Amino acid sequence: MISWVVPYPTPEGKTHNQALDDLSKLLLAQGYEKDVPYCVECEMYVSLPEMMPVQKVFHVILDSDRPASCFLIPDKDQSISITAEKSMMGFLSKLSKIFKTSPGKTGNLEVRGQTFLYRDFCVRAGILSYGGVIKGVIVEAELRSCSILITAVELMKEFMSTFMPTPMDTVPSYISSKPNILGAMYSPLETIHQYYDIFASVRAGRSLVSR
Amino acid sequence: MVGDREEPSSSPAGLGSPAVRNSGRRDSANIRVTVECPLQPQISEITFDGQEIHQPPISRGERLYRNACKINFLEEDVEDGEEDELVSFGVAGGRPKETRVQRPDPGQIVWSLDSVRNKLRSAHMEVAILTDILALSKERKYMRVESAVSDPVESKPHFNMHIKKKAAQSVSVLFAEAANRLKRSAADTQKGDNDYHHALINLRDQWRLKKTGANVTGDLGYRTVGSALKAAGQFEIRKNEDNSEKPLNVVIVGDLSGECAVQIDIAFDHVRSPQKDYIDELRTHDMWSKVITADTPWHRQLTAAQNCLYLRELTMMLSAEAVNLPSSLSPIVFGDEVHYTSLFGHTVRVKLQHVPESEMSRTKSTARYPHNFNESTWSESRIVEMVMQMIMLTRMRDLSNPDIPIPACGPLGLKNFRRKMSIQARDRRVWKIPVTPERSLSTELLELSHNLLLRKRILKFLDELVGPDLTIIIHDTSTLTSWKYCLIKLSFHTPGFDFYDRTNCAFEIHSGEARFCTRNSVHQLSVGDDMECHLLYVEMVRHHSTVMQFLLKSHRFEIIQYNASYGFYELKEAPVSISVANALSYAITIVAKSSDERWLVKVVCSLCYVYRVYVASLTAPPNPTNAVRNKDFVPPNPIFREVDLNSIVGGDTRAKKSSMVISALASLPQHSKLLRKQGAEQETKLRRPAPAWTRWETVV
Repeated sequence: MISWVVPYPTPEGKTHNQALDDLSKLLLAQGYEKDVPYCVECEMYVSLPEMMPVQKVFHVILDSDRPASCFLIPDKDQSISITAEKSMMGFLSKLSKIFKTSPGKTGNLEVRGQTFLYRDFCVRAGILSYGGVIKGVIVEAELRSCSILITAVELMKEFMSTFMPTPMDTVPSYISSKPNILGAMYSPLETIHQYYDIFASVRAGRSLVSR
Repeated sequence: MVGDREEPSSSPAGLGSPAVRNSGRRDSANIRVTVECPLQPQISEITFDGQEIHQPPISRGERLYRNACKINFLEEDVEDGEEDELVSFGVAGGRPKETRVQRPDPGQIVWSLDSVRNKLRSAHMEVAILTDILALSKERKYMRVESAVSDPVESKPHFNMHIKKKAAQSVSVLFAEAANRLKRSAADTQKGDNDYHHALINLRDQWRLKKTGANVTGDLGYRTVGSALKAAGQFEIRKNEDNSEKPLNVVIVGDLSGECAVQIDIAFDHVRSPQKDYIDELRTHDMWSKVITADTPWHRQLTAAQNCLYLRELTMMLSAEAVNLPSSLSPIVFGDEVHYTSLFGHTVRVKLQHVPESEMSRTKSTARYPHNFNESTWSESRIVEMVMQMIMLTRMRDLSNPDIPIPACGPLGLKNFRRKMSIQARDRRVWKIPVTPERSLSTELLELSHNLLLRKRILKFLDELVGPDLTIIIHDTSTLTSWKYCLIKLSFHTPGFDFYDRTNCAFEIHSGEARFCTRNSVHQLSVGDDMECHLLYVEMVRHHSTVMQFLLKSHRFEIIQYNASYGFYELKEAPVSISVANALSYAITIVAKSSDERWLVKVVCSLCYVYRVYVASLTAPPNPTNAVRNKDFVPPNPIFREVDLNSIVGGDTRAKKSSMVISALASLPQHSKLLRKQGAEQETKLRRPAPAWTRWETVV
């Protein structure tokens, strides 16, 4: 399966919730089936300065659609991201003397929304909130019948254009920045990286939709 | 005395400059004055710009070394040279002659020099020894031990042999001792098998044990490979104090003792007489007994218990799957029993048979129970057993670690969801569907039973076709290739004829369906009421008419024409049940002996009467046409008479058949004289007694 995660542009004069409602109505009208809700959470862990002279930061991302796994993405070198068992969380709590969840930042980043199914496709539309403040709408489009990204780029563009307000003519920034994943087997970690890119831009205070 | 010494003293003192010597001579001859020029810096080099580079004055240590070089240590008596030495030593160097008066006490100097000398001497000795050792170690001139011990001996082969022999002997003694020790230790371990601890160690090689408190417990179950029976399969090991032969007692929790088997019955709901042959039972027993190599009572007990657990698991899986099966199979679950209605109208019953140990002795005589069934088991039972093992193994492999442990050794490895879902980060939905319905256990089991049933039925059908003048040779490759795929090839042969008709037909049984294949076509077989393999009759007609042609040729008939009608078109229109009985696959051979006579021999095949032969004859029209001359003449609408081949019971079928056909031909109304004569000859030939020379008396 391959997934693209893109922010959904909210139209002028509407709230994000209204935009999400409109989108789900559109999807249901197009013949999608409503499936279970989903949630993607991101938590930041920071090393304590008395334990480590150089501060290290990494993020733990949990995806409700992959219930047995958790993903660890370091702040600096993202090539050493880890896919681990859920029991890794228990291990991290044992390391609480070295790493701590960042307390100063106001709460977690999370995307909560609904899954819609249509044959081989699966669309997840959700609200991105940062410490309770709604930041925007995120759409994840998944093609379940393909594992090589490069073979499905045009199909994904076409598919996403069916529900996005503007035609999709570019690939997500993470995929365009990593040309070597195009021909390889697509792993769920790439999806998580796409989420992480969006989370990072929200943390940095940039606006979600560049267009 | 002083004067005597003047000459020799002059040399060391005057080494410095001639001017000093001159000044010494100018003074009185008695008093020696040593004058040294003030210490001037020695110039080592003068550069081009006139700058002088001075050599630094020598240090005290250097000076001491220089002077020490001049001392003759061997000369113990230094009284004469004392003064000279003093001078040369430079104790009073650089002073005018007058200062000689205040020179230090000679004894004190000697004393100080003595220590220096001793040190130097010891140093010299050390250096000398060192050089000696270096020379020795480097050149090895004097330190060669072997050459020093003895002169080089000339080689003595006998002596060497003896030495080697001795060495080998000592080594052999060592080895023998070691072997003896090993033997003793092996014997000890064998003796110790009856020991509790040894038995426990042996048990631990094959089963998973752990210590809980004072007890040793183990686990037989398949929990970690996705078993639904979570609590079952625990066992406890107790020490048996009473019996020294059996040090262990295994106590298995739950009702797992005794023998267990899965019984698969195939039965027809509407039982009719010819199909009774297909009702059969397939039984499996003791799935994993071959995995465990050790043969001790507790091993047997554990293996049986695990087998029981495994079969329970199997039945549970089957009944769980029965919910999702298509309704055409109409699965019904009764406790340990699952019923399916198959496509052909027969019922497949999969049943768990469990005989507890307490009942085993009581019911030994009855054949209803699996433990007595083992010897007389149907040969297919073994296939079912193996197949079920294979299916379960693949299922477990899907659910568990790829490198699956030996099932008998119980649960090991990662839990399946952890392995599959977490590291690979699989989707929630992949997790939810562990078994795809196409590969469900029950469908595979039903497919297997279909295959076995079809195979048995085809073999029975072929058996019916075989008669005294037709042998069907079957090449069944299913046991060699796989249980999923069965291919039965056919060859025809008629006794008494030289040729062996290797047909192109084959029955193929694959995934619960049977097909009849020839070179050109594949026909789906419906195994409902009758075997509808019309093409097989075609092959048989071909074979029989070939046989007939051989027969007629041997009687000097000329084969004019061969027409075959395989009746495909009639078959298509007629309903299936009628078509087989009335399938008229026939071949007409037209033979002639003269140009105006035609005989027709027709061979017809069908399931009701395996094959029949009809004959007819016609004369050519009175005025011969071109067709007659060219032998193209075909008689219109002949009237056939049947040759009663059923009267051939045994004996030389070939001769009898030929005589019957010929006599039938001869009895036809429009026969020629020649033919009648030949027919009569044929009969007399048959009646003729054996020649006399074949009797034993004449031979001997």
